Amino acid sequence: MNPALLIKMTENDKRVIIALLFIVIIIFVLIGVIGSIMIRTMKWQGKKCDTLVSDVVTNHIVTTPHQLRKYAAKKNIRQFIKQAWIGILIIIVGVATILIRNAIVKDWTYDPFNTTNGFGTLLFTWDFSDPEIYATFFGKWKVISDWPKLANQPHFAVEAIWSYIYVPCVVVGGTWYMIAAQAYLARTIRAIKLSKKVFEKSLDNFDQNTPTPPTNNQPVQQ
Amino acid sequence: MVDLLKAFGRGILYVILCPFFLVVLALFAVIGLLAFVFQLFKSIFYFFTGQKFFPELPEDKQLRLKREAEEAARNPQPQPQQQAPIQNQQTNNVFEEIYNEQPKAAPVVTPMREPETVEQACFQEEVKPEPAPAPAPAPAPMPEPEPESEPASNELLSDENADDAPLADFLDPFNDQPVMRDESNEILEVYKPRGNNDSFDADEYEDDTDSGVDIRFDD
Repeated sequence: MNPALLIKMTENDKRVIIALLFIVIIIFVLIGVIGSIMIRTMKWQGKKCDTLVSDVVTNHIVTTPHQLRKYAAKKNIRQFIKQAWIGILIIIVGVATILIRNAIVKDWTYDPFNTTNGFGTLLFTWDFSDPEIYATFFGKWKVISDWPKLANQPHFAVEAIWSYIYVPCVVVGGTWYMIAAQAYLARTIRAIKLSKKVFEKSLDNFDQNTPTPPTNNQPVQQ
Repeated sequence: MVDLLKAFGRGILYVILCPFFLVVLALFAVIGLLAFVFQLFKSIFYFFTGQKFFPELPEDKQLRLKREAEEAARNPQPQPQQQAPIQNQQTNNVFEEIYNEQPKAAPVVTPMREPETVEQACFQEEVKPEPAPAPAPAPAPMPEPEPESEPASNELLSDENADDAPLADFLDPFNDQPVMRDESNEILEVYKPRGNNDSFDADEYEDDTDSGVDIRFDD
């Protein structure tokens, strides 16, 4: 008999395993739902590519898939710059703020996320280094099994004002920029799909043996 | 339950593909950042050269020209009205008048030939005018030249014996020959030109005049 099957689990161990299994399933389901939303969002973002290239395609200025991809790449990068410059500007403002602070204080080792004079002063912070909150499973695995102690409560610190500007600017600007980059990626994928689809020729409904219907100019042969 | 399982399966798939997606997304983010910086430097150049931030792509230019051509074909532009010529402007400047004067066609001058015979002069035989010279290019607006004087009258004035020749009252309207009339308006005679006799013919002047200096030579 396999020794792994001979492991005797207590009732508490079984409950923990079932709970962990449910958590894992929920996590994967959430990831699947989030992924589906992202794909749907990227399809919606990619529709912008149709607007950018439709005029030259419908007017037969672009006539080959290579030309379409090349033209779409130029238009996409321009659209990306139009969308992303605000995010980049916000990031530049945040970085400039923290650089000014460091230049004034002459402290270039400053961590803007610390809990003493950084942005962490505004967040709840728990002490995960306390060994009492962990339990040992199967004699060797340490799993958290209790609420950690609260290390910091949100409070306002004047000396952390620079980080209050820097962190939101970087987070907002970075998110803005990454959404613009995601849209850029979505438009590029859409352009590749369009270059294959627009110039596609299909013979699905064509039958060469079917006689061509006579036109008005040709007399019907009987 | 089936949807939950589908979402669970997608979740596993997305977890596997997530690193690749993140790598591609980071790649596009870096490419976008480089393009942004490159465009920033280009925009500085465009600013000082007076161009747009995003210059027109060749395909967009073709499209614009095509649309303009279609628009022009659909709505043709009305022809601009010709400016009315300036006429009858009161001015005291002679040069301005000459400048503003409309160019006229060159006057056609048909010089008349002298009748060669007496019958031609007396019975008004038709004298064919000399063929008109080839029309010269229209000259600049100049004061209208006076028509060439009649050859008969010129002959009268240029004749060496102008003192002997009778003065013409007016020109015959049919053959432009000088006509002599009396007080009762009767035609006395028609002047007979002598032609271009440069030589001195004594017989011709034998009984011609009663006055003047006789310069005939005796044989």
